[in-house]
Parts: sequence; C-alpha cells; structure tokens
Amino acid sequence: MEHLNKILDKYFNGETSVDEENILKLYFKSDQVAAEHLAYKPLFDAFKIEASETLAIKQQSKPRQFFLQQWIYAGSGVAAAVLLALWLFGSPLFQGDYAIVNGTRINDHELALQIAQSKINKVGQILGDKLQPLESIQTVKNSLKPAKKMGEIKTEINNIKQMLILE
Amino acid sequence: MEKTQFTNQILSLTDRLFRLAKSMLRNEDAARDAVQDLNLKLWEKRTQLNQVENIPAFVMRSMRNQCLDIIRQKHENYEFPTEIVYDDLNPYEHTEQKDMAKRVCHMIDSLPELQRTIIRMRDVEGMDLKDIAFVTGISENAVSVNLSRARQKIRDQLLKETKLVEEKTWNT
Repeated sequence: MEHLNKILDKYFNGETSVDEENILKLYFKSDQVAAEHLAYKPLFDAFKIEASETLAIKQQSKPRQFFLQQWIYAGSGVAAAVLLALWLFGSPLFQGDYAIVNGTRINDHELALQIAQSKINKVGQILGDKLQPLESIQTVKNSLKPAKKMGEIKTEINNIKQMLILE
Repeated sequence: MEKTQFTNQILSLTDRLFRLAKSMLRNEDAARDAVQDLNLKLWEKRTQLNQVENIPAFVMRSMRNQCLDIIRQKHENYEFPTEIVYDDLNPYEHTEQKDMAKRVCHMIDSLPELQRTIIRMRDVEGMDLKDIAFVTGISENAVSVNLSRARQKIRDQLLKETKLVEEKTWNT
C-alpha cells in the first residue's frame, strides 16, 4: 500500500514513468482498490472511457441512416422495376436459353430474345407516350422564358425612371 | 509515401487525432472536420512525409497546429462551446461510478487548453514526455509542470466532490 501511495504522489507531481502509470491503471481497473484510494478511481475510469472513443464509432450514426435509406430506395426501385416487367411481359421467366411466356416454354434462343426485345420496345413506346406531355410542358416553359425576361426588363426600366425622377 | 504506407502510418492515427482535436476544440463536428482536412493535406503532401523521422509525433503536432489555427480564426482565445456528450459505460457499471467518470471528463474539459491537451496525451494516449514536448512545442520540463498542475487540479476537484457527496450522505 505504501508503494502505491508513493506512486500516486509521484503521479500527481507529474513525475511517474509510463510503467508506473500502467501499474496505477491496472490497480484502479481491479476490484481491489483500497477505500483510501477510491476517490481517484473515477479519474482512471475517465481515461479508459476517453481512450475507447473513436472517430468511426461517432461517424456511424448519421451515415448508417443514410446508407440504410439508400438501400431502401434502391430496393424499392428494383422491386418496382421487376413488378412492372412481370406485368408488362405477362410473367416471362428467362432461365438460361429458354423463356416462359404466358405459361408456354420457348426453347429457341433467338425467338426468346426477339420476344424480349419486342416487349422492351413496347415499354419504350409506352414510356415515350407518357413522357410526351412532360416534354410539351417543358417546350411551353421554354417559350415563356422571353416573356418572363420582358417582365424583369420592365421592372428594371421603372426603377431607372424612378431614380431619374428623384434626381 | 505509397497508399499502403499512408494507410498504415497516417490513417491509423485517425482516432488519436480525433481525440486530440476534440479535446482542443471541445466540439465533435469541428474535430471531425479538422481531422478530415488534415488527412487531406497530408495526402497531398505524402511525398514529403518520407523525410519525417517520427511520423506519429509529426502528425499530432500538425493536428494541434491546425486546431490552434481554427481557434485563432474564430477569435483570439475563443473556445468552442462544449457540446461533448460522453458515452455510457456498459450497463453493469454502477450509475454513481459512471457519473463520476463523466464528471472527470468535464473537469478535464474545463482545464486550460495546454493542460487538457497534455493530460490527455499522457494519460489517455500514453505518449512519452519527449513526444508531448515536440507536439506542444514546449520543453519537457514545462510539460511535466503543466501535467502536474492539471492532475492536481482534477484531484482537488475530485476530493472536493467526494467530500460533498459524503456530507450529503451523512445528512440524509
């Protein structure tokens, strides 16, 4: 005990070696800390807590949420695409060199590819038709841009006029 | 310095750098940004790092200087507001013990910047006095003096709080 008291005195005077400090760390980590030294235990516990702190652990909380969110979005997208494909193609199941269309197995590789291609073209056409109104909206928006500019120019002219009147 | 060397020698120090930056800036987000900025700067200058003799001490010193720059940029003698939340110990630990350890972390945070940096470099990171002197740019003797002052302040506060707790227990 006397030896430990001496090391503790040296410790608080900033005179201990790394080895002596390790003795103290081990002692305060154990279950055999003397009553007279219990007051110092939180000090060594605090060092232990701080030493275990890492940048990675702290960073995990936010990005993990983002990562999970990304996977949910990506998963939903893939599931939606698969469902859409099944609905449009009448559940074709491509397995190796054959395809099943409406319950009929097509073993001919070329024919299976052609059916798939025609279905894909159909999807493209549907999407194209659906997107056309959006394109029209964009065209109208673009056409309105000069009119919007005219409004801005008019406001600017009014401001200049007011400034000239004030002067 | 090659990519593998950089990962082994520099990026392996990231946690240590984070703890140093957090102790100096007393703000986790600012500390995180500072570490990432330093890693980027070191990566850009990786060819020059081969000439450095003691890489851990050099990197720690760079981290400290960067934090000092951040503090100076904010204001002279500016200290980030303490926003540090200390992690809980495992659930088997006693609440009282856990609270006291957290109190000590706050006590260290309330020390002057040099003292809290030194006590953490020594007692948390286990660095030797020579390296601490290099990082802080002061003599080994000055490091010992500051370390002793920091430890004694914490001890005095601890004993004061323990006495208060004991008195409270006796009165109830």
